[in-house]
Amino acid sequence: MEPATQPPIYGLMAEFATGEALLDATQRASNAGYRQMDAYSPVPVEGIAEAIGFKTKLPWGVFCGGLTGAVFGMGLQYWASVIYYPMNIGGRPMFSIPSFIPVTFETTVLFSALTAVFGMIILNKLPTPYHPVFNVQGFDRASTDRYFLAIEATDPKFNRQRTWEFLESLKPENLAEVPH
Amino acid sequence: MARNFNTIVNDENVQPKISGLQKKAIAVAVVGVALLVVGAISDSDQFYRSYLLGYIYWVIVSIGMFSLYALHNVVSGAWGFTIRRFLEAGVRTLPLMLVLFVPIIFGMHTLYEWTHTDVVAKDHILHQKAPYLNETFFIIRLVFYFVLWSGLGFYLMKLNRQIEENRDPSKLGRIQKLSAVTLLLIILSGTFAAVDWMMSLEPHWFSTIYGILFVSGGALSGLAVTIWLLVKFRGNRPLSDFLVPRIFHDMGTLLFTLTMFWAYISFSQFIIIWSGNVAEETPWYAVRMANEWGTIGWGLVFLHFALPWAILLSKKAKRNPQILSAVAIWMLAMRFMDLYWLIAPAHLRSTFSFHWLDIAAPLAVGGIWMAYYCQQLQGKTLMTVWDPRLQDAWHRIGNADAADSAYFGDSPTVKEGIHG
Repeated sequence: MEPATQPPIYGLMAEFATGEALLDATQRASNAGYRQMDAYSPVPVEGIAEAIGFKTKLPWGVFCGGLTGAVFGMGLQYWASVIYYPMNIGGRPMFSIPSFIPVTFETTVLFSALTAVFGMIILNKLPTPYHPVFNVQGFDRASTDRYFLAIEATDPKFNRQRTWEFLESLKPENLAEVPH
Repeated sequence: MARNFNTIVNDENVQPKISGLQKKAIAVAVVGVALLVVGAISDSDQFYRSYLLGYIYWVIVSIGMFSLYALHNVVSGAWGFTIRRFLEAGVRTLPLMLVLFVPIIFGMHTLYEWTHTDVVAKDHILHQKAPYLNETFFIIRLVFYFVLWSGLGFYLMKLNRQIEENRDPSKLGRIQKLSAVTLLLIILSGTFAAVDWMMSLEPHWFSTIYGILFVSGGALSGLAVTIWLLVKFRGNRPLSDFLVPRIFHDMGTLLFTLTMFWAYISFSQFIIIWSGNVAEETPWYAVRMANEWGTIGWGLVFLHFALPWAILLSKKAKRNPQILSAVAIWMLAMRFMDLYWLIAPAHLRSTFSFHWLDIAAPLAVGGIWMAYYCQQLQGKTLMTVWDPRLQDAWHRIGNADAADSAYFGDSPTVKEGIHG
C-alpha cells in the first residue's frame, strides 16, 4: 500500500489482557521515545500515569483552591462576626480565631475538592461527545476487562509502518489503526 | 536488581552497626544516669518530675511501635515488612519499661497530689475520686497494662515467627484478627495509662480525648524512631535490596497522617474546652497559654504541626530518605517539646523554668532504652524473612516504582556503596 493513498489516522492502538502488560508496554513505548500516547484501562493501574509521561499542574491548582478556601472561610466569618453583625458571645473577643478554625478547615477541604473535581474535568476536556478511539472495534471492553495503549499520530516519532511494527513486537492481543 | 525472596539474610555489616549503635547508647546511658544520680541527691523533687518526663517520652515510643506493629499485621503493606523487625524490637522493650517505672513509684508522693491523704480528706472531689486514684490500685493497673501489652505483643510475635520459620501461612488470619483487637485494646488501655500517669498530675482536671492524644502521639514518636532506623540501615542488605523510593513515600505518608492526627486531636481538646469555658476545665489551658508556656504552645502549632506538615506535602520530600529522616528527627525533638508542655506546668504552674535534669532524664532513659533495643535487634534478620504476601507486594510496588522513578528522576533502588 502506498502511504499517500491512505487517509490520515488518529493513531495506532494495541490491546492487552492485563494491567501489568499494559504498564510494561507503556514503559517500552516511552523508552522507545514515544510521548504522545494514552492508556485506557477499566481499573487504575498504579504507575501508568508516570509511564505515559503524564504531567499535570492540578496539584498546584488544588493547593491554590485550598488556600482560597481558607481565606474565604476565615474572611466570611470575620466579616459576619466582626463587621456585619457583631455579637458578644460569653464575653469572647469578636475575632475569636479558635471558633473559626472548624469552618475554615471545612471550606479549605471543600474548595480543594471542588478544584480537584472541576479541574480534572476541564483538563480532561470533558465532556467530549466524539473521540476517535471509540472507532476501534472492541474498545468498549476498556470499561470492563481490557487494557489499551494508543500511540497518537501527532507524536514526532510516529510512523505508520514502524510504529505498527513496534507495537506488534510488544505482543498485544490485538492491534488496530484508529481512524478519525 | 537482585531481589531474592527465598534467602533474605543480613550482610556482614549489620551486626557491627547495631553493636556500634548500642555502644553509643550505653555511653549516653552511663552519662545520663550519672547526671540523674547527682540530680537525685541535690534535688530529689526535681529528679522525680524530670524522670517522669523522660520516662513518658520513651514509654510512648514502645507503645507506639507496638501499635504500628499491630497496624502492620492488619494491613500488611510492603512498607510494614521492611520495618517489622524494628517494630518487634520495640515491642520487646515493653517489659523493660515496666522495670523503669519503679523510680516513679518511689516518687509518687512527690508527683501526685492525690497520694496525700490529708489533702484528699479536705478535698471533696479528690475524696470522690479516691476509689480509683489510690496508690494500690494505681500499681495494680500499672502491672495490668504491661502484662496486657507484653502478653499480646509477644504472642503476636510468636505467631509471626512460626509463619516465618515454618513458611506456613495458616496462622495469618488469626494474627490479623487478633491484631485488630489489639489496636482497640491499646487505645483503651492507653487511655487509662494516660489518665494515671499524666492527667492525674492535675487530679481536678479531666479530658476524655486525652488518652487518644497520648496514644497517637506515641504512634508518632514510634514511627519517627522507626524511620530514623530504617534510613540508617537502608544501605545494608537485605533492606537495600527491598527498599524502593515508594516505601519511603509510604512511610512519609504515614508520618504526615499521624502529624495531622496529632494536631487534629490536640486542637479538638482545646476547642471543646475553649467553647465550653467551664471553670473546672479551663485552668489547665489558662496556665499553658500564659507567659512562656503560651509561647511554647504557639511553637507547637507551627513547629510540631505546620512545618513538618508543609514539608511532607511534597511527594519528592517523602521519597528522599535524607529529608524524611531529618523530618523524623525534628519530630522527636517536637515530641519532647509537646510532652514538656503537657507535663511540666502541672508542678511549675504559672512560673516557667527549665531544669537541666529535664534534658538529662530523657537522655538517661533513652540511652537505656536504645541499648536494650539494640540487644533485641541483634542476631536477627533486618526484615521479614518469609511471608506469603511478600512477593506479591513487591511485584506490585516494583512495577509502580519503576515508572515513578523515571518520572521523578530518582534511582529505583537505593544505590550501593552507602554502607557504614
